[in-house]
Amino acid sequence: MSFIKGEKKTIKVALVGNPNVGKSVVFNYLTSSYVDVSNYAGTTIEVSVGNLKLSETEKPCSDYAFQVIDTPGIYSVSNLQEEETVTRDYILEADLIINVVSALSLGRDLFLTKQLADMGKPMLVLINQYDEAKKHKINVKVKVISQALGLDVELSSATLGEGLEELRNYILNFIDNAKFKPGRISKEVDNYCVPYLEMVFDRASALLIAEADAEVAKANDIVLPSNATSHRKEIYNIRNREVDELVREAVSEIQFAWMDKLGDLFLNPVIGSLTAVVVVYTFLFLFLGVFVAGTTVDFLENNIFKAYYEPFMRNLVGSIIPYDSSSMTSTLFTDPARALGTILVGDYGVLTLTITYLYALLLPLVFGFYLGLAFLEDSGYLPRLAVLVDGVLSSLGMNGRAIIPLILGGGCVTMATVTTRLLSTKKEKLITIALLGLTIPCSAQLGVIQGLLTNIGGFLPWLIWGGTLFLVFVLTGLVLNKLVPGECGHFVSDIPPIRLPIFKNLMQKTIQRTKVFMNEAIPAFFIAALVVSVLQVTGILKYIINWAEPILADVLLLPKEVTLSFILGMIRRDFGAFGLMEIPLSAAQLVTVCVVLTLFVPCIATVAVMIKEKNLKIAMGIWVSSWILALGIGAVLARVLPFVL
Amino acid sequence: MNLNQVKPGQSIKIDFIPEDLELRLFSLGIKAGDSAECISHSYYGPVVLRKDRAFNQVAITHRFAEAISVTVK
Repeated sequence: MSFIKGEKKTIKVALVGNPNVGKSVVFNYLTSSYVDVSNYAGTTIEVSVGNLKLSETEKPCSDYAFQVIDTPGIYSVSNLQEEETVTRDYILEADLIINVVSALSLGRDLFLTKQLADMGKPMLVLINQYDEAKKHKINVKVKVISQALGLDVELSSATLGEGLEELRNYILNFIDNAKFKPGRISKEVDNYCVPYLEMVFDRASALLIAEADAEVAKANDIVLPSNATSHRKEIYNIRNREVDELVREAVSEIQFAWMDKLGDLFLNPVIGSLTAVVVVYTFLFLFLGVFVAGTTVDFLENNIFKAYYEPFMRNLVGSIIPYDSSSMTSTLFTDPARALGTILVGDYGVLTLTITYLYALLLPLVFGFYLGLAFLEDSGYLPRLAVLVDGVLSSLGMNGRAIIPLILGGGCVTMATVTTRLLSTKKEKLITIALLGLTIPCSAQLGVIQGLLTNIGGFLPWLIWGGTLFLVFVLTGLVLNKLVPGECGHFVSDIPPIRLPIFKNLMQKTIQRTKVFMNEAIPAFFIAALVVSVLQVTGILKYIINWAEPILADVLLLPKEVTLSFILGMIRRDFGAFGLMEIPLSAAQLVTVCVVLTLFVPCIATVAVMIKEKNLKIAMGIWVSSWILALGIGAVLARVLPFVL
Repeated sequence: MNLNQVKPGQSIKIDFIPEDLELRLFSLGIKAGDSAECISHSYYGPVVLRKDRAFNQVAITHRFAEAISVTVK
């Protein structure tokens, strides 16, 4: 409890539990904030901190401020993995622990609960996902668990909001409630702690030292005995035995439903692989390509923005100042008013094409991608996909878990690069970041490309684009696996149940992610459009296009108008599709440009994150490689595709 | 036999887990002496197990599965 005279005392409440038990949903409710929630382990890779929400009547009465901490999911408290170390430190500092467990997996989750109880900290056990347990006819004897642990135990269904107001009140009453006491400490485990209890400040540290936590021992100037690891094993054995006994007594047999059997089928190598193909086809081609990029964008762009909005803006601005719609000549110094008009409503006008691009094209595409991704995440499909691809990804120097950042990269490569933190070794992180930078398009780019390919017609262009990327992905992975030293991590993971996603949660997640994406994209795009318009009215754009013409014309066999897409693609990947739909291109040229733009350099934000996560040398290596790869493959395709399409 | 030789649908008893893997599997609820069912196992892919009386499944990579001794029930 931290306390400065004259200020409110701060009570630290740590939400601790196994991965994927609903801690972040509880955190969102308690603090009225939003952190990302998904149906797979490892969504929370950073600690989130917020204040407990208080009503107007509660605010003046309380002498305390309640700080709620959402910690990364862990299976046990130790110093074996980074997330465990982070969570351990928050546990040691916390005044109250809310241990969130899943009613579906008490046999696994109560191991951590027992360990936390043995630490002697004030604690409440929140048995979450109780709605799902009821569907599976799982009966949990709360009283039995409460008595065995000597702790208060509550039930909740966080995604439905059930049991969370009671939890909030429980936290508010923490100070006044005299019944708060440490849980029942296992006598057998206690024997291992006794030697350290006199040497350290608290029981929690004594337990961690008894369990061979070298960092806690060092912080307390204690040298671990040579048999420390065997002690840990003995303690873990005792704890597991106690949990097994408790679960046998308190949890009824499980009845598996049809959804569970469907989840098992997704893991079947044959059925699972066929399902994966259908999922990719439905999501990328039918949903994102045909429905979002085709029908929706088409309607918004042509029937609303180009039919009503742009003419209105041109008339409005044109009634005050003149403008050029497609001139490449310099007017900035000869006719500044005309130059201003061109910047506002010209070819790349910040009030015309920029707005149309952002709201008729980018917004529906990003929203569509995140909606589809949220469905895949919340359904529990992604961890099953991770199992299916583990063998393939292992041969590329990664493991199944890498599929999560690789798929998230389809939303935003920058965000996905940060997510590579959930991977365990340097080698797999590096390979995943490189493959994200080189071969994965971001949502808006993906959407526009799907739209362009759908417009050509038929499945073949889509297959050529996807096949080329897949080939580049595999070959680059194989090469990097040979070149990058070190070991790749091994896939040992919990597989969550298959769930029917809740519509409200899907929308909340989709809107939140779209907002983040758009908030970043809108100012960047306005600046980019402004720069391009200024280049246009100064005549510089004409020189750049003429300079790039030989590369585009001789190497990629593309018209010089495509230059602008490449320049903008360097700023943000999704801007790379800017104006492409307006340029008349043959089917072969369109597929070539789609492949080249996908393989082309990662955007500025991604490069910055790469430097942060790795270093400048690696980021520049990936940046230069993408130039070579994109132009090389583009040159080959430009010469082969006219014979195919 | 080792865990890699188990086929989907078979019920097994875990006889031995090497020390370097023990702690990692311990906290996921898997330990020597446990009974489990093999849910899925593809060529060079992970083995997916569901422990008796448990809802959650655990995927264990091919290389680790090779080191775990089991008996088919």
